[in-house]
Amino acid sequence: MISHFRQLREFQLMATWPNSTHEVLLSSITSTELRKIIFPMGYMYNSWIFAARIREWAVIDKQLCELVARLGRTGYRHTLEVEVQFTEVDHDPGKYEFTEFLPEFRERGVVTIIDTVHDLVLHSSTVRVELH
Amino acid sequence: MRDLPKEPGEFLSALHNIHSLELVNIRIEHLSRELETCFSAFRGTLTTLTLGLFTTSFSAFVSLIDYFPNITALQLGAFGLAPDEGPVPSLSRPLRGKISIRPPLPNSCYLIFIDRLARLDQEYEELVIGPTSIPLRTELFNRILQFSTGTVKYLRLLGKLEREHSLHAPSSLHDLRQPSKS
Repeated sequence: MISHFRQLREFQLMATWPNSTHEVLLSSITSTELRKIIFPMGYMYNSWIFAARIREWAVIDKQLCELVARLGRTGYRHTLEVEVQFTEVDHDPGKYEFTEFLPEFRERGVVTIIDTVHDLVLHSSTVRVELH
Repeated sequence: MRDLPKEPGEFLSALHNIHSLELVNIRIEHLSRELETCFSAFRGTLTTLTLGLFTTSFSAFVSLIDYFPNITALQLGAFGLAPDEGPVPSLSRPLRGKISIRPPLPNSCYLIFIDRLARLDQEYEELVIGPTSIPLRTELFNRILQFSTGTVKYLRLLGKLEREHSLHAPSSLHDLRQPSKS
């Protein structure tokens, strides 16, 4: 579906929760210029709600690993960052650690979780990110 | 504050230095005359053009977006397509910058418009679909994904992605691993 975007650097796709379309889109990426994939989430009371359904991301975790491996075979030289944005979180984002999120991919790239409502970095698998 | 003329065209012609223009619920029929009357004051400064609930012929639409040489953001909402009254003009330069499309409720007119827009000379760097509460339907979605494929660096799909079989997608990765038992 998006295989013909050979210059793609940043891909943002809304995810209430992952479904088969997300898998298809990720599996069709061919750009070796890709730096970042962003998942803006829909409304969520707090991050524990996210945590309760974290296993649903297992197929995305697998797709992301396959993506990095596939791009690597065609000269990919970047570190892919996956950013989840809580864009409609309630007043308290919660204290969940997110270390179980995308467990395989985080061995190959960077995972960042941000709360855009309160300008908070909830998790980064490497260095802390400064928000503007 | 001085009084501005009441005619819309004259009102617009008094506004200099405009960077962003949003035209909503408007029908344009004789664009060549209206371009000079309405938009000449900010022809060189306009960088963002938003069209919503907008009805015009495709030829007039092309004339409009080509009239402003410095547009870097084009935002399109619901769009009614009227019959062309003459040939579609050629663009004086490729369409560049960012294009945002907020798909309306499904209609064949919009698909025709998107198809014709896709055939224009485009070098967009950023393609945004949405934000929209209407699920992104496969037919329109696939057509928009033909835009500027050689130049797009930022692709944003800001709507609920339908779980549709017509995506030629398995319902899950599990289906890929399980051969049919029939």
